[in-house]
Amino acid sequence: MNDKKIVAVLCDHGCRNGSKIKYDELKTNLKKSEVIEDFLLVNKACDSGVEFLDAYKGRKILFGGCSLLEERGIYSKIKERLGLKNGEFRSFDVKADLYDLYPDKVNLEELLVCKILSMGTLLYHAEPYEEERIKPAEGILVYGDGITALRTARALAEEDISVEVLETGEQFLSPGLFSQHFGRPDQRGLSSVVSADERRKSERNRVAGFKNVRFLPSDAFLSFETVEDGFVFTFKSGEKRKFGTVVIAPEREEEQSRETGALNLTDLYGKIVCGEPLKGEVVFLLDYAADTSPEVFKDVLLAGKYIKRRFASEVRILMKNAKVSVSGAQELYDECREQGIIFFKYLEDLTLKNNYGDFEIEGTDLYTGDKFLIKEPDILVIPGRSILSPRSKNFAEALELLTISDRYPQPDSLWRLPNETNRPGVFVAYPTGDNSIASLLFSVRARLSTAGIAVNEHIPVVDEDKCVYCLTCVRVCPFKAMTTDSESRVAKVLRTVCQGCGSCAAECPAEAIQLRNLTGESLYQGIRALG
Amino acid sequence: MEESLLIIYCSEGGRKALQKMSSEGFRLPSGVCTFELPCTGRINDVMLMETLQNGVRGIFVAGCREENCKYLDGNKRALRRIKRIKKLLSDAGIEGKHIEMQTFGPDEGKRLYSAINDFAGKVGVS
Ligand code: SF4
Ligand code: SF4
Repeated sequence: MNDKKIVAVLCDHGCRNGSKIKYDELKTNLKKSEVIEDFLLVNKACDSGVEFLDAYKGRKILFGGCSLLEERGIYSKIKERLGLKNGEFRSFDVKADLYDLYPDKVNLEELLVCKILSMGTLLYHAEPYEEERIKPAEGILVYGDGITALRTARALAEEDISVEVLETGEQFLSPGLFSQHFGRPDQRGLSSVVSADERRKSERNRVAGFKNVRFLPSDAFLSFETVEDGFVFTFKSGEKRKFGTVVIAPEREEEQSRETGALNLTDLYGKIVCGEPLKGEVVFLLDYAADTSPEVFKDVLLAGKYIKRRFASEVRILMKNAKVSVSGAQELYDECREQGIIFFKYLEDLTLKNNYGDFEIEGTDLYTGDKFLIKEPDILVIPGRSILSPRSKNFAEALELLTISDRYPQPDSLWRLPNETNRPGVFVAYPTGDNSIASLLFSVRARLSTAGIAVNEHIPVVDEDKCVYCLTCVRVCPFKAMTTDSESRVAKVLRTVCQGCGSCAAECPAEAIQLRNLTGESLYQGIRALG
Repeated sequence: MEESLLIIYCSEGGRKALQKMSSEGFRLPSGVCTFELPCTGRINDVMLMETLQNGVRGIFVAGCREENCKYLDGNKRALRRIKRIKKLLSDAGIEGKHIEMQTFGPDEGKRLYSAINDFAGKVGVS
């Protein structure tokens, strides 16, 4: 343990309460503690230069000020001037984290003493450390067989990043199918239908033209291991390859319709591509088994419009909650109405009778309150839920990625980008929306930035003598940063992966894990100092 | 710390909720101290017991809302651990009411305020 004592500094600007502080009382109380060497009050630290600290070289500094100091770079100036390493300086937002929390009449000195002693204790126990950055290995693996995977590979290749594509050998027509595969309108105003397969082929040819793209034989990989600078895949051929980054463009497929005789969108698409006539009464039933996503709703509008124009059929779209929230959907919806497609918003009481493929749909219209009955439509389309394709699911399982219904993880989180997964370095690309290829490129660029990946301040340190190799930490770590090391039989942390959350330290039954600069002991003492 | 209450909050959602609380004009009861951790996932039995042993009347833990932990599931793990500790405590004849954890969205200042006050009332700190 080092014995550098703490010099606590408080900005005495009138931001709110500073000027009311009884300096002498505060100083006397603080100096009773063995961790605080001195206490200074500065006026308007945001404007007053940092030279006044020159006399305190060689001490650790704890600084309490408002957020302006951070914004104006005062803290970095102090660190630079005094040559403070990480772990030798800490600051707190005295306004937001203290003054503002308490009523005006409280005893400020008492609160400040608690705060400074508590944070000072933590800082006192902290070890200085050099910031460490590790560059991920070269090369990106793109996993997937659809258009999105190929377009992702192309986007990366265009940025001079070398890419290897691991094709899955399975292709599904996932949501967004009609939006992706309807081409431009011809003279008659009818959109041409491009077969998904053809589009894929032409995209693949284009991608293959890049020098820095390689297609890996689509044999499955046998095993997978995370290392500090990336991921090592062992393929069936025996080949071992390391990639710094992995991108998955998961295939999603549409669930089969549970009603015998009804089509799902994929079936309908097949019929359209084959040129089957879709005459008579065509009914789309949305939000039936599950809510229809805006992506799929747009597909329905496109399909409906096509069928109406091409075959002059009677098209009805029944829906409950479907929304026109993807771009272009509102215009499409208006066009459909103009063309005479009939929309019903139905209430809860909808019933569907299925007599061996002869359907009868009965419901109430939300707006008019009138009952409607649709008898034996020629074609009934019920869009299915989209689910991860089997291979995409397997891949997620192999890499221990969280999945939520048809998506790779992204629990609605404020803190993380939509392309991230629970494994740092593994990203997901979807055709549209928040986690589109554009946002993926952003994430990948950040990972590949020249500075590399910073090692978290609170990285765990495993005590070799205490670790009983129970692997609790390996199971607990939400980011899969703890790994086994069968030689030493001590758990090992991957420094680029760890995010410093402390879950492993909390659950290790042998108390073998301590977080750097947040050890158990310093925490207890920091809390104790609050009294 | 005799008559005091400790709020342990995470530096993400917990902190934001606390700041929202103050910006909405709600104030902490006197005798309440705060302590920040990167994630509530760090909290374990040793830490809570040590703290209670030092004479704190109650520990209130404020973490991120369930689906919104920056560290994926630190908050859920902490919730489970605290549930277990409460049970251990009551098995040992100490009422489990001295420890409580709740999760908050960054905008739930008012709910945090009333949760802290309810808790303070329960453990007898005003
Ligand atoms: S949980 Fe603790 S004892 Fe078990 S393997 Fe991890 S470090 Fe070792
Ligand atoms: S601190 Fe958190 S992220 Fe790091 S190894 Fe432990 S559990 Fe994993």
